[in-house]
Amino acid sequence: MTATEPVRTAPVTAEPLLRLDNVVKHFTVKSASFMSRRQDEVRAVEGVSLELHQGETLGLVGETGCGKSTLARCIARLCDVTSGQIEFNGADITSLPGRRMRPIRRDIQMIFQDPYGSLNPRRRVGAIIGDPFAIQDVAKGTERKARVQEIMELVGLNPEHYNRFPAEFSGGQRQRIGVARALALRPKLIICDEPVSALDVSIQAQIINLLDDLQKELGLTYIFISHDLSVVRHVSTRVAIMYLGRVVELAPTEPIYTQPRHPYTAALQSAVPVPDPDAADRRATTLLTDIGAADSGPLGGCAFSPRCNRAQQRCSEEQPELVPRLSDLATHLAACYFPVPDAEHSETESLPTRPRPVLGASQGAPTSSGAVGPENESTIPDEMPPKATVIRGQGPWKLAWARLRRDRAAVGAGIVILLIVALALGAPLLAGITGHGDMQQFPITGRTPDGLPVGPSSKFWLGTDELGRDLLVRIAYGARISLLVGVLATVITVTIGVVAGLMAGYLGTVADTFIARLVDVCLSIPFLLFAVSLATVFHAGLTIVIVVLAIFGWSSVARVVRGQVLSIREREYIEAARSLGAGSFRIMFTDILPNVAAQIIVYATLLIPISIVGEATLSFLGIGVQPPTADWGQMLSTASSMYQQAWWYLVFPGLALLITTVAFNIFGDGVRDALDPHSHDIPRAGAR
Amino acid sequence: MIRFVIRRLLLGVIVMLLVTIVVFAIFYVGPGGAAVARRLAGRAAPMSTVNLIMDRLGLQKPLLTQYWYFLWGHGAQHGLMQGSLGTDYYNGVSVNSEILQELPISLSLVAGAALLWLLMGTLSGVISAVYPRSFADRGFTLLALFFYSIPTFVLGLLLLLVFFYLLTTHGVPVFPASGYVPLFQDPAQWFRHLLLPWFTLAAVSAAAYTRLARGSMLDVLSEDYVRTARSKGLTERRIIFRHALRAAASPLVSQFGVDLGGAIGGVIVVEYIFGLPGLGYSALNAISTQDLPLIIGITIVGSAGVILANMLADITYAVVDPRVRLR
Repeated sequence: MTATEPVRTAPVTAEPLLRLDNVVKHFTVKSASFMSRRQDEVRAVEGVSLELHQGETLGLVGETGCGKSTLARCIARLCDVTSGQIEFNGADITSLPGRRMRPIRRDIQMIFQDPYGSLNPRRRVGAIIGDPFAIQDVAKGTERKARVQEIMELVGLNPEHYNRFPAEFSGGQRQRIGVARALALRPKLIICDEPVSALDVSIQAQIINLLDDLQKELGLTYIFISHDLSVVRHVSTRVAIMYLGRVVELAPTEPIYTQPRHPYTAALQSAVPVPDPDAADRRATTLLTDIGAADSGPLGGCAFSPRCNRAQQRCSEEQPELVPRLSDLATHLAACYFPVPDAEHSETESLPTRPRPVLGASQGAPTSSGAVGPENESTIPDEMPPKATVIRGQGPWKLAWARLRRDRAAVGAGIVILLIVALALGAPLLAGITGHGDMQQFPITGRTPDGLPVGPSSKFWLGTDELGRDLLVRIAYGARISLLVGVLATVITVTIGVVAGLMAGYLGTVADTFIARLVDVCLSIPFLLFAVSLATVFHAGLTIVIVVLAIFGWSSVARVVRGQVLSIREREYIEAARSLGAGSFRIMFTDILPNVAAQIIVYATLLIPISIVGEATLSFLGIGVQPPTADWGQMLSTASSMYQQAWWYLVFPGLALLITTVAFNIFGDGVRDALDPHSHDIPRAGAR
Repeated sequence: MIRFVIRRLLLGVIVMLLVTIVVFAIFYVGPGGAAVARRLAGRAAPMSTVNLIMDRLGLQKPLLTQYWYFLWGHGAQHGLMQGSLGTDYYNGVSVNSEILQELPISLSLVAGAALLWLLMGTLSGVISAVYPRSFADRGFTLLALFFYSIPTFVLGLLLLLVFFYLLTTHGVPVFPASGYVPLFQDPAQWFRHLLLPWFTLAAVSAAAYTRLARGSMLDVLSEDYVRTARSKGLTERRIIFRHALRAAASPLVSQFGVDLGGAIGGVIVVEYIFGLPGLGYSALNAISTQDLPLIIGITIVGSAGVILANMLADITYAVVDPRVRLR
């Protein structure tokens, strides 16, 4: 039976590349309740010892929740172990601090399960594959680009696709990007965490063959995690079977499949689907029962014993050691007191070696290391998209821009905003044309003999104010303040909010709680009362306006950003950045920020009218801009005392303010629809 | 549920404490004891008053001690935790008595406005969602955009111009320009004087509610359980009010807390425009008279109001949506 399998023996060097010594990882799960201090413990990894040599591929197999991914994350130092020791290349890396771990991360890379989740959707492929160089500070500029393209070619990607986004690639191509990122720094060890389980079968074969070739070419060492026994059988030189945090059987690939010793391994074997229905009928299947017991084994005994049909008294009392059983070689270890004898394997052994669907091209052909060769050459060009079907992808921003342009209401609002901006910029010009300056008073013609403003006429298009100044020119100058504050306050508010939101969402509980209380306080003091308080202690003016607007605006931005960050921080591409050695700062601003940019822009556009109204309100109450500076709110304040004599003084500045805020609100709604077409929590106003 | 309420109350107390620290920092920290006393005494106060304040509030002592006095009081001077908001030296009365006098005005303004926007906003939002793309939907959406965009003070001034000035000059004196009549003195006059202020204060929030209720209701109406309710043969009215609205209400409830906080600030503008002598009106007056103790008192009462409103909203939220309690 073994003859049909490629027998690959690892070149045994004296020093193992990776050595795990009794690695334990427990997670404490805090009870959600405020009163109780009860803590539950999830014992994910329970004392794993392994040695891995250069050039080997260790298959790590087990059911969901058995701790195989946790073990991988421990090895990559993405989480800290509870106890035990991890040695890499002869050095203890168990508890190296982040800074000293960074150079070692070059040699340990990961390939993730989800080709969609492990690539940052808002960054270009070149940037993603270039990340390892950037983080490890290896190559810069054109050199980095050249090396990235070289790697893209190596993994069978078209180097011309350097500037594309991950969304423009197929699942298999994306996984190649993941492989390229892992390979970039020529690591010694690559941990493949279910690298093919999210792909369909023919693509699985391509990726596995790619990994195989790269191993031969670059002398890589793999830890290959999977729950697919046939894939593991194909790629591995040795296999470790895990059950509830422990390795229950560890042996070279063939014996695991032909002579499983542990009843759990045997049960897994019997569950592998066989493509031949007759053979499947003949086969004895071991059904595992008592799924409930799968969550935790008895304390002190074999964790598998409650579900084991061979279990005896001893199994639930003593923990069996991982040692050679029966007449096995020293390389075949099993943790079972009552191992499955060879005689019971007859059924399994009589099965023909099943044609492995993963090897699409090689079906039926006897697989040997020699036969793998030609097939590999064909797979790489396979993945290259034929020129004819290349769809020129559009970046997310381009698509949003196209959507915005089609939105007539938003385009109209945009034009109105541009007109207002033109009015503000052209205020001196307007003053020249009409012959009325900003501060220029018209003692006779600008006021009635009683000292009241005159109404709209050909001389003063919109009338005059109480000092006889031309209202149109005053409104144009007032637009300057409104727009200035609208933009300036928004920029400050958004900047503070984004930084606070990123910190609250990413840095963990302490920062989060601190910022949450700060938000509570800022939202608790009524905005105008706070402004009044500040105005009594400090001088009223534009500074107070901006400070007050920023203090009351940042918290809502922070809340939005925090929510986004919380949902993004657990994505695999963040994990990927961490495994490359990126620090918190880089992750927050390079990896997370582009993904919240759309929401931030939407929020900022909707914040501008709020800021403009806020400034006008404060100036109206006398806390903001002081006379004689022209300001809409302050003009309305004066007008409010004489609206019975001069309606135009109240109506025109009010209209200017209203048109501005309506335009910004419609435009903001349009921007939101364009950037985030799925959200309709606040429906688009201004019906089409 | 009780646990949730207790936790929420505790959080409220903590936030209130933090607010007092912020207020203390604005008014007491910086210029030194003598200058603070000078400020608190109000404009043109004699030196004897300044010295008295210095002594009473312990302004020559370290800041931490001062804060403690501010919070708890010392000697005859009661602090915040003993229920005293201090003395208004400018008017020579206790801040408590001034606030107690003005509070009913502001409260009736906020309560009436809240009721109004809740009714207008939810109703128009539900109608919009139930008949999407209808004439009513488009009308409400446009109105919502208008009222959402118009600044409160512009709306108030325009309402005065139209409903007071134009109507009165045309011989229909329905609405007064300003003033307040206590509820128990003459309920009809009370209502007449508050109608325009209520609408002014409610408009912005009502518009926000229309948009929120419409979106939330549209989401819910496309849920499977609404389809199930329809397939059971329930009446449309029962589906909308019993099944859909209850589920759609939770974002509205949480928004209500925030808006109530906003409205307590908006009171200043509305009271100023309509000449209602409430808390906001006197806070604005206190700027020109430099009456700091009164402003401190009003800020603290206003903040307490917002914190209380948010607390009530959260607890209501937990009642409406049981999932919240688990957080």
